[in-house]
Amino acid sequence: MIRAGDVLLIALGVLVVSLLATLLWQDGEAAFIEIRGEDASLRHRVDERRELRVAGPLGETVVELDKGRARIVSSPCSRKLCVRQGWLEAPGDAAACLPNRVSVALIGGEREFDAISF
Amino acid sequence: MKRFLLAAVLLLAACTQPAGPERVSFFALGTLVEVSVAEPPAHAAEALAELEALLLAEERRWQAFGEGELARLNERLAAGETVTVPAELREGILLAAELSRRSQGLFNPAIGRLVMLWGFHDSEAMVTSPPAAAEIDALLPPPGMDALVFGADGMQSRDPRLWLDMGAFAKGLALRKAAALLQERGLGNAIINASGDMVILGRARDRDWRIGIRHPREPGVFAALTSAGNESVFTSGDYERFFEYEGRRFHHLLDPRTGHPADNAASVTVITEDAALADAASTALFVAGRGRWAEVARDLGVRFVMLATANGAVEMTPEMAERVEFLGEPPPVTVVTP
Repeated sequence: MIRAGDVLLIALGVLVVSLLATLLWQDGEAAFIEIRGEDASLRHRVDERRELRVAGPLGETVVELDKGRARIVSSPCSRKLCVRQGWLEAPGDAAACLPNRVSVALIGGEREFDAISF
Repeated sequence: MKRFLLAAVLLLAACTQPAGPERVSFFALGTLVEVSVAEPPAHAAEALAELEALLLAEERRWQAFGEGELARLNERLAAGETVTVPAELREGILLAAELSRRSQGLFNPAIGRLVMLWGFHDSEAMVTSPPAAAEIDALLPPPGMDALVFGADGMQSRDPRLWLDMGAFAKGLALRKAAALLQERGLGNAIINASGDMVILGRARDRDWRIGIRHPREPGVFAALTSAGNESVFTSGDYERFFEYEGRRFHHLLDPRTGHPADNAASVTVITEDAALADAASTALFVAGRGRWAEVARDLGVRFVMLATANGAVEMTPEMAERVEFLGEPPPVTVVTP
């Protein structure tokens, strides 16, 4: 037997669930940045502005976070391909500096593709 | 009532659970490798550590310059020695020789000296201009894989200019082994992606894997397809490694016939069951270029091919046309039956 109070509770439950789903699901937007160096890796929320520094065999790679996107802003490697790659914006976007053994990837949220061929 | 609350809690739990596959990445094969595993079993971490070790061993084996087994073999072959070659190296070289022959020499791993001359052998080298024409001419026509003699007492080279560079093949060989390892360890639903070249196993939980193909000239993906596994997707593109000189792009995919970068394609994507074949074929068909690739695809037995040109046109096989979906404005497409 369902009573009026139950209906209210169910409605409240549905509201809370849908609210949390919107907050947590992050469809299409990355929640975290994963930075991997040679010996360590770190995860950081990507929804703020800041700089992260990671040490590699050649020196320091600097990663800039800017409200949901990220990029490698400076690197001690010679060709700077990682810097030239520019902003990473979608989940699954990644940049790597092979000489300095540092990789940066946006994770969380739903990826449109499981893998990209190039 | 309790049931409703339980359902709500379960739904919440579903929100916080990652819906997609588990992903790990590491540096191997001279690049960043990403492995995605759907429904990983409890022992997945061990299997993935084994996989990383395997790919690092393959990287050392096939290094053509500097340290590495292949580099040492090259030095000895160039010195005119008859060399006893370890089984794994020998098998890979024999297969490369066969695919080179079947591709009319367009896939030619014997042109390591040309690769060195252009500076594409060293990922840290700052190359800013093409080599002098006379230096290129001195290496033309380059030795082919038929300059190698496989005798009972070992391998020999009939041409001192022969230098094996398996850059267009070692990744395929390694991914083929990597796929077999994951299958053996019960990780039968996975993608091993070595910077855009991948082997695909099984499916992603209750759906097929979703694969994007990079636009050769703009950031992002221009074509998509799905895969139910047991195949490899390899792309060769002129944007992967290049320098610009006097307004022209010089990239790493050299045409053995001219000694210069092949200039009749921007990217070629190939899908085959075998990763090693996919690797060699994507290079050979890129070098063949527009209007010419179909004949080589037929000789190599490759059915899924898509070539994109620098001005945005696409040529592909009927089988590929059935699988590929273009995102956004579709390019002009020519379907070619090999």
